[in-house]
Amino acid sequence: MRRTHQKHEDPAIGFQIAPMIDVVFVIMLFFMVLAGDRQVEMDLPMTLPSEETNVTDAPTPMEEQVAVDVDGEIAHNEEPVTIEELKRNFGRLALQAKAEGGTEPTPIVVTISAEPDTPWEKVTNVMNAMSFARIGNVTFSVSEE
Amino acid sequence: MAGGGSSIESGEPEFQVAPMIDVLLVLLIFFMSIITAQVEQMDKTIALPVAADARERKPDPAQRTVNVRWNKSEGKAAMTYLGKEWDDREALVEELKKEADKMPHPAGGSRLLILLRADKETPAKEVQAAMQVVAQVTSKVAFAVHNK
Repeated sequence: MRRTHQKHEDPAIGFQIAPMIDVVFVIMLFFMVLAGDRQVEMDLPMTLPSEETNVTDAPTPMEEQVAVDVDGEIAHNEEPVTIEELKRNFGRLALQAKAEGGTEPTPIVVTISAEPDTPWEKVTNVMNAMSFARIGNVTFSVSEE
Repeated sequence: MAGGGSSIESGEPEFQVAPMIDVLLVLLIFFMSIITAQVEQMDKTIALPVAADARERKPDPAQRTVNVRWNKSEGKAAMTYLGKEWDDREALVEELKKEADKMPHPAGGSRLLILLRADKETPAKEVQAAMQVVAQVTSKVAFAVHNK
């Protein structure tokens, strides 16, 4: 109430809504532009083999072997492949699993074998290809030194 | 300043600053409190690998974060959980099992999902060791990556 009296006494001092909205819009625009180029954390969801998931009447899974060496060279079922080829292979397998399984696609289990010192980044390239083909069952093994 | 008696006098609706500030402060406190809980679990020193085909993270109350930090100069990996470094992996398994017991799944087992945040340079053997810890508690795991 006191503020209203001040307004009447000195009309120059007052809260201006229009410039505030202007500023808010400029800030909003700035954050919207910034958001497009933002680096965000995402997930590669996987299912590890465990006793709980072993169901006796489950269909026999398709097993795929992927080896990754220290330099990031990949071999799919002992065939050297590039990451793009691996993506295509997994994509084909996913379609095949869907066609074979009918309503319930045949599960695909990928065993990733890495050398002990293979950087994690190289292994995630394989998992990225799995995520591309929506394959979520993974077994991870590291060869003996 | 807008607000006060003029709106009553003129009968026109007017912009009220005080309740707006009240609401903004409440929102600020709300976001600060939820972010603090998430930040506690994240180790910001970790440089995550990039995976363009990864999925967007959905908030999951059953998710707990385990970090695998790689110290290149010492050639040593450290597992952290809730801001604490766990040299004793058995103790970490026990701690995670306690969490898993708190969130049972109606169909059996646990709803616990472990988010594994490993540095992109971490050797595979260290991540495998972390996965062995996780596998003793749950089969549900997600690997944290960056989109770009």
